[in-house]
Amino acid sequence: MTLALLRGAIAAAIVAAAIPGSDAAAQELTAAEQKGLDIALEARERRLGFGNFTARQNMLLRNKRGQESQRELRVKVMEVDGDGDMSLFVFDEPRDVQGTAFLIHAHKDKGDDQWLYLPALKRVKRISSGNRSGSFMGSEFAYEDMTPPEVEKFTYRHLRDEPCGELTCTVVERNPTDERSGYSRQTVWRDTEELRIWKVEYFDRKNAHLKTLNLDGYERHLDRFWQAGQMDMVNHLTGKSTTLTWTDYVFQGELDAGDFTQAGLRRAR
Amino acid sequence: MPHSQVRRLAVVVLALGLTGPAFGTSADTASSGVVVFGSYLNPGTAERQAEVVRERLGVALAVTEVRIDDVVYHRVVSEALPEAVARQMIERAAQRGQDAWFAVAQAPRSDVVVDVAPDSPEQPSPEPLPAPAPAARAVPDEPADRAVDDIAIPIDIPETAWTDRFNRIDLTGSLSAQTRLFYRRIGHAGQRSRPSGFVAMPQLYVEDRTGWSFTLSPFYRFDSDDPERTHADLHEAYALFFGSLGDGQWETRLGVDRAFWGVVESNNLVDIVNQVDLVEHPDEKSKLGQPMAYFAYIGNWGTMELFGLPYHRQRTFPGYPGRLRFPWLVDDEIVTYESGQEERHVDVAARYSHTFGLLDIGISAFQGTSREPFLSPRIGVGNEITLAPHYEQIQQAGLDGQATFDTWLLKLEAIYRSGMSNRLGEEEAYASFVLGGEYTFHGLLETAADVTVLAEWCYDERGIRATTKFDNDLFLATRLSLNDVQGTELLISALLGTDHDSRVLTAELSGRLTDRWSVRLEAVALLELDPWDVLYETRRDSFVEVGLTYSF
Repeated sequence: MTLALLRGAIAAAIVAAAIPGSDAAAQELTAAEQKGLDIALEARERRLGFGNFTARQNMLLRNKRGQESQRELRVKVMEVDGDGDMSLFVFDEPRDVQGTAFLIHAHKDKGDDQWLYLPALKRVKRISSGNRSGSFMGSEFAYEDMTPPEVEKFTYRHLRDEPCGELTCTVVERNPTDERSGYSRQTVWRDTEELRIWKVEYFDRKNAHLKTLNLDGYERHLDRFWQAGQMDMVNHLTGKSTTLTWTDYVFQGELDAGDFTQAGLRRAR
Repeated sequence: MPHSQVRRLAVVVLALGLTGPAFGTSADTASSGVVVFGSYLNPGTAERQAEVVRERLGVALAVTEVRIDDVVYHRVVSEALPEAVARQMIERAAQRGQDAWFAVAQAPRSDVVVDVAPDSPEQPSPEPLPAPAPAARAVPDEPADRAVDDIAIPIDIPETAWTDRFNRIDLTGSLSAQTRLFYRRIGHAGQRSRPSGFVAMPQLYVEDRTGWSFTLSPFYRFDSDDPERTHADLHEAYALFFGSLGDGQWETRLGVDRAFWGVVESNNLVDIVNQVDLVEHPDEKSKLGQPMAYFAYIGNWGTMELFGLPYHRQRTFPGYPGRLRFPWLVDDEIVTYESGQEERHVDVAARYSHTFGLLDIGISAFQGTSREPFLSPRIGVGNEITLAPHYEQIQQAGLDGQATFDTWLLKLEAIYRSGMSNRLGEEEAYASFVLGGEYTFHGLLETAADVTVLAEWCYDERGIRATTKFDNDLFLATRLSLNDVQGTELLISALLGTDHDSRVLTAELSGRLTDRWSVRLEAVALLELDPWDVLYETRRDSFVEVGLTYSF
């Protein structure tokens, strides 16, 4: 064995050792994919450490003829180390479902766990996570739009940067890896400065432009966390739209993981 | 309240001072941080990227490890810079076709998931950074700052009116008008066929600042025909307390409450805490309030619930003008109990439940007075026959489980009960179960609608001696949810006897008319019942019902 061959073998071994299995996929990313992923990772990191928050949501549902209907909800969200957030929604309006509560344990690597509390029977029901693409309370928001998407559940591709208002936006296409998602792809506009999402276009499984979400009224909480105050979702196929308004944000209040259990769900109201 | 504002600010600054290293206190100090040029799974890629950026910009760079949810990323960063300088660098980078972001340095917090490794062996790291804490700019003499208002550190409880002691005082509820039409002629003398009436269900909820609460939910039904169906009940009147204990949480409820156990749709065998309010609906799903002392502990290993039930509620039965009854009336004035303590016998119940991934399991036990009475005929003074309810002492062990998959569910409820008389009046211990599955077709025909089909097999080993209609029956149902603004739902079900001929069909349509008004239509058709069936005496009592509800 010559010295050159030995050197080659050692170099190969070092290269192999430097690429653990989990990195193999990352190696194959194109520059645009890598950049798209980078933006998503960076955006997630800026959201890390919020701990928990509570807020109120008002949904104004409008149909093609302009008829309106209101939804009022209270939301509690808690960050989980190493996994998706836990979210609890309690309905105040419409009144016939007042006290109905919905608990989601989001996961990065598998389907979410979901429970529904029906106050009339005082019954907690574990429900399947197959309803991700279904309408949330008759609104234009699907269940999968109601919780922040996990970075791991998409692949990414950076498309371009372009001006958006006074800001510059970086435009990334993301494709859900989850078959249960109702979307084939989403195009996301984030400003380059704070990586706030300003617009999302949703394409259905047949690749038709299904919905557009516009976000506005951003406010910074705890000097770090940007939250939109208003989200407008328009369905281009049906002409219906939903305006989701967030108010009364309280970050890092006295929430406990026990508030996100089935017992917590039963007393949520 | 300027004074309390100042106090709160002082506390915020103090709290932050304890959690992080020293930080600037000047109101004008801009935040500092690092410029990020990308994060990579592969350290080699990060190194190459760092080389490229160094060449392009001629700045000092480092690769640091960042752990995000157990995945280590290699991040190309600048040294710590004041924000203004960092912004200039980002602009310069952009001009040279290099993307970069500014990351505000973060004060270390115990619950922050980001974990920046300060010294990697090969790479000199720019960390740790001086940490301008989130609210560092809010100095005490500044006017109220939004960022500070957002920090909820519950420190000062202002001394104000008593209403401020409570987080919430809610009065909600519903009022319904209902009418039933029994469209077949009566089976027993005295029955009437078109009862109408209303239901009032207000609810008062008071929650104090700690989250402890009191709930009051009275119930009242007026029925135009049957005075036994005109009834009031206290569904809920309890105080709720909870808190942390060890790694978990405790919760206690004292007063009158309802507790639901079970997973299936047809017949919740394990559900035994509350008495059935039979005059409400023959489906036995309406329950009366139950006085109880309830304690639960919710730990990592599951939830343990204990019930002390100091008072027995009698089952309700229709009166003389009512349909859905035996030829003889049940007279609750001549009730008897096996226990000498009668209705004051203290029943006990316990349930352990836990989620194991896809599987939710509950194991329960009950010891005490049966919710189901044994009815024996008595001859009264006027030679009329009435049924006397007798409540025995029973023991019940229960198991309920559900496996939840993407679009389908598998469900089981099973009990073993002893101490109760069978249909022949002999004490007989028995096992009974309901086994079923549920499948949902989401987004049917490319609409928002879901269709769920479910099948459950209800089995009672007593067979013909069973005291329930679910002796050996198949329950088939389909639920259509339009997922529309009105929340329209249609439920159609069939209960089919397998040992003998019995067929009961039900259909239920419900939805909102407006945000406050909703409507419900129901039809129950007793198509065929053979003389052995528990429901035989009610075989003429098919009905349709219309209800209009106002919720407030």
